[in-house]
Amino acid sequence: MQNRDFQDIAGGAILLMIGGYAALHSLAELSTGTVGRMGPGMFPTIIGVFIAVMGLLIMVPAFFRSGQPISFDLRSTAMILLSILVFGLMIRPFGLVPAVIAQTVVASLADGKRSWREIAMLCLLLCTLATLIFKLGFGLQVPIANWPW
Amino acid sequence: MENDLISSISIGLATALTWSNLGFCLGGVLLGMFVGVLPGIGAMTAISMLMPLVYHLDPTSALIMLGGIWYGTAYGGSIASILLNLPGTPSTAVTCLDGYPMARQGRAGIALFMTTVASFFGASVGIVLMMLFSPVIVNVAFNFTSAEYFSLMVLGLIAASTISAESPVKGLAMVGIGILLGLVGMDLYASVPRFTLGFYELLEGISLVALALGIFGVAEIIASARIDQSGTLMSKVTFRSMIPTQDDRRRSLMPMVRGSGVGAFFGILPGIGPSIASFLAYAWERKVADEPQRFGHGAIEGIIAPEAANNAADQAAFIPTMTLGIPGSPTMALIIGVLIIHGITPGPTLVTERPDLFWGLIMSFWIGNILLLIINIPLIGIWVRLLQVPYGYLYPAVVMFMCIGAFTIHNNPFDVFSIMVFGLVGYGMRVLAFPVAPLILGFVLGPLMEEHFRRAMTISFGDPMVFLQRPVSAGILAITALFLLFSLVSFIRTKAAGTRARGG
Repeated sequence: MQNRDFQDIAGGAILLMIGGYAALHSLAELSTGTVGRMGPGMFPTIIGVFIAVMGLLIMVPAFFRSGQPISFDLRSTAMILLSILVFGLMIRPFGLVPAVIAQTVVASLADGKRSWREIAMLCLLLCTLATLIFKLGFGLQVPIANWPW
Repeated sequence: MENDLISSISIGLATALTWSNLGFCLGGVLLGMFVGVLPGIGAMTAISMLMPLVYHLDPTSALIMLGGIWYGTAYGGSIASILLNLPGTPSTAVTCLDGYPMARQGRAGIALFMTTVASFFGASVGIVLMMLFSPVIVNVAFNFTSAEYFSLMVLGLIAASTISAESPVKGLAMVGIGILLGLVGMDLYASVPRFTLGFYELLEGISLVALALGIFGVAEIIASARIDQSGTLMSKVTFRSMIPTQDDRRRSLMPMVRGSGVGAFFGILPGIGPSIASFLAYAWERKVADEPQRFGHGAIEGIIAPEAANNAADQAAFIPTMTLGIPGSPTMALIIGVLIIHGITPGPTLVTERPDLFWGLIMSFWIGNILLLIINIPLIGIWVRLLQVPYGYLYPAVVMFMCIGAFTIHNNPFDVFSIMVFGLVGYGMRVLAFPVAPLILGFVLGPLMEEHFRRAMTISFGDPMVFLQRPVSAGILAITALFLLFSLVSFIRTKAAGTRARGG
């Protein structure tokens, strides 16, 4: 327990920023038009103000009550997101199999309980599956493996 | 009327009984059971993973398959709940309460058999309602103008965000964020890009598949990757152990009827999904029971009612989705997304102009549920063995399917990077205790809402009173206001009770 509800303070603050940005951006960059003939900026401005008000309603009371500490699994987050990133970066230049191998290895590091032997077996299995299902089954427009240089 | 129904049924059967559609139906329910058994991957993730493939199918087959996944998960989920005390999907979580104690008493076979029967019964009630009421709703809906549609969408969003969420304010905020994300892209009226942040890939808008994959799928994997998810198997299940006693049968009948009623009613209402329906059915059953103290210690009523309810709700959720084009849950929003991808607008015109699609889908529900009734029990052994595979092998595989799935949307790595960003957003929302479902609903309904809002306001020359002057629209908005008031009052009450409990 903490003396303030940091969960909701953070959440409310983020909403306030997003809503504020959306409303101000719409007012500045898009024309709002009139109520009878609305421009592209009218609806986003309303929504932005709405989000910002909700953010305030979440944030302000949170200063006056205790709450749970924010718990964030950094390792899991970093490894899973990184595995998606390497897949996205590698799929075009290197092809399907290298991208799947890199993604599987990095993703496996999130829980870190598998041995390298087990990860290698998993890579083999997933590469076979991916090739069979997506390359042969659905005709994915990507080479199986490619050397870009 | 009767002739209409019979001819509609025959149109539907002609569509649903082709070999390819039977195959898609079987594939859908099998996959649904599979992801239903697996904790951490629900219908939502499975459907969003398959959405890219759906581009290649014709819309009827696509819907038949995705529908199969949706109701198949409820059957699969109860297996994991009963045998391993792991809720495979949220809507079967409540089944753990009495299902697992039954398994510990060596009555797993009976529990599995009776939940299968109850699931089928509940689903049947839902489908019959859909067959009888859809034509009625369609007739009414033909008189709807933009004002009514806008009000209905407001009702759906308010109901979804206030009832399912712990905090109504957070739910509403997420609806807002969803609407905002839905507005990204080219404005159709003025041809002006909005909120694209300079990415030309965003001119067409954010892809629903990438958003759902990231915010549900990736976030779920991040949250579950390091949690050991293996359960302990309680008892061997043989066919002989499945025969219910006279007492079991007698105790199951009324809970099945009541559960189906609860499920069907709440399934039709927008925003209330099968999870809430199953909890309400359980609560009601305990209230009317002669010996409420048996609940939690293996009372068969405690698994029958929620299982009938969640299956009835699963089917009934299609009623507003197909007849009005207003999804009651994020999964139904994805179903609407599939239709829109194929250039079909769900709503009353869909039912009258594409009877093959609408009635074919309904008939496929019958076929799918009969398939599930037959294959559920024999497949239990396979699903249980599958649950013994360590999660450490499963989650990298799921990430791989999501990556490839995202890539295939436009054959472009941009969507892969999108699921990464939305995965972070989704996980952040979990960490800060924001609900995800209202965001997806807002995302799908946002652009439609804006369109109807602008159209209604243009027709009324800028007079917002149009939403209150038309009686149906005004009535819907009045119900919405009641919802808001009710949730606000109960929210303040629980808050006050919590403060008092802590203070005293």
